Amino acid sequence: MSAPPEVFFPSINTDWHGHAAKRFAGPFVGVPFDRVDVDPIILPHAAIINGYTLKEFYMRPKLGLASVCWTNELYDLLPVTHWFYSNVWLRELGCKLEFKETLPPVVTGDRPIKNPEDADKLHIPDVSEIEKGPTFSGFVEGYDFVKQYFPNWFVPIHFTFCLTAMAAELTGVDKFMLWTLKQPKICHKLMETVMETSTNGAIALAKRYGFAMMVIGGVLANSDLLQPAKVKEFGMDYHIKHVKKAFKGGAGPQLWYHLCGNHSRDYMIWKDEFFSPFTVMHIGYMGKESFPVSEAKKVYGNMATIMSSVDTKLMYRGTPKEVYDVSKQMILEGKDSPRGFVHGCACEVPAYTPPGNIYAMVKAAREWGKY
Amino acid sequence: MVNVVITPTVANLLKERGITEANVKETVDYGESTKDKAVLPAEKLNWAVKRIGAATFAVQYKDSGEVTTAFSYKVALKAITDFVSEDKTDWIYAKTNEQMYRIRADMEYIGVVRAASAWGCKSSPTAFIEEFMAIKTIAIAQMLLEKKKGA
Repeated sequence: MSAPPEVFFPSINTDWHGHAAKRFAGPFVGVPFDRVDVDPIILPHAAIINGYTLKEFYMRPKLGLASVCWTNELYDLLPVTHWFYSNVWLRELGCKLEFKETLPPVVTGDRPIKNPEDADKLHIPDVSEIEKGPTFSGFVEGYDFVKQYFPNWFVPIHFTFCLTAMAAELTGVDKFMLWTLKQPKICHKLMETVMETSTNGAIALAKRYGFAMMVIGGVLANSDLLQPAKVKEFGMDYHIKHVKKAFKGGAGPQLWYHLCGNHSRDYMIWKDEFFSPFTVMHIGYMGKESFPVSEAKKVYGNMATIMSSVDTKLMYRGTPKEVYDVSKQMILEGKDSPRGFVHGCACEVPAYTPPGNIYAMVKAAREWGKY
Repeated sequence: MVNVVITPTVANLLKERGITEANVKETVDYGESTKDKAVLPAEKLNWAVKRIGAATFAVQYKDSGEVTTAFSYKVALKAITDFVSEDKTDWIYAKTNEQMYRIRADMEYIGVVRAASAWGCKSSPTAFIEEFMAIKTIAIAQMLLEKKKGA
């Protein structure tokens, strides 16, 4: 069958893909193959280096997913593709998203929660309502396309983002943070609403595709903004409810916990998260420094596949030599982690990262991450 | 000993899941004879788990012996590694009358060891994997492991 115009790129090299698939499976099946895998969490960077814009990446899911496939072959990364953005599932709760030229989609305009009384008026969309909404439609447009034209790359992903950050967006971050102290019941109401909505999104995706990997962030629930007890109360406790309910609805089994930002005071509490046999634990920073691979291995190495965190500022502003040196150190520390290791960035690689810096991560994996 | 009662609805469920009445009886007998089982007193419900051959069988049944559900999984418990005592369930471990809570256990399948959450307690050698985990999460994980191992 000839590819339609929206496939955008030439066919992916099947030999390369087969090799990458075997390497990708390694950390999860305890049979390391070739070398440490590299996942810089490529999103709009893939569109930009192929001549498209950041805004196009987010507004055209098919293009976004195809460009990640092509870029993964280009850099010798993962055999799976992905497309997602922060602030998902919020349009279903009355927020407006603005797709910007140089930033991921942001919540804009009046927030649905202006005062504490509004929290009771929010309607949680059920699965059938979610299926008619803009977030689900965007994912389906992209995943149906991948399933048809890149079937070997297909892994449907439910992107939870950060439940705490999403609840905060319903009213504004400053107000929400104040309410965690002054009006905690209202914050819990908002958390519950966001959690149930996102869970229904996961169930809807699992219903359509048979399963749905869950990517769950701890972005606002971090040590810069909340005490560890509050990180648990307004972060992890909702993750647990979310994962259990979503799993009951057929989502999973893959879980990727992406703890963005500084988790220096709270990284131990996430041990109590809900785990599936395919869990990845990824912690961004310890203070201002990349989270030490040795500590991730010590605390989480027996529970999950761990992922390293090259500082995203270094990816954007550093030299390839600096990225290579940091990568070498992380790979040497992490490559023998008991349940597998993936070399990554602390968060999504900045869209305008010089390609040479991503190559530096891969080169370090080839030279120091051999199995 | 409890006389196992299997209603037509449960019989269909067992058939769908490839579980025999003998598997059910053996599992219930094990739970009853050893008290290595969980109980939910308010609902007069029991939950027995037994490894038989290459699969683990779990049966939930009333005190009267009527089976309410049964499920199985191929992953084998290797070790209980962590206890999350704050996340409790109403299920009680029968042998010690302890309220159970979330544990993390290493599970092995086709030579691969991965961790997953279940219910249990420090006195229990058994990990009680919930039905949704067994028939959905673990079932798909087993399939993916088979595929990835062959990748």
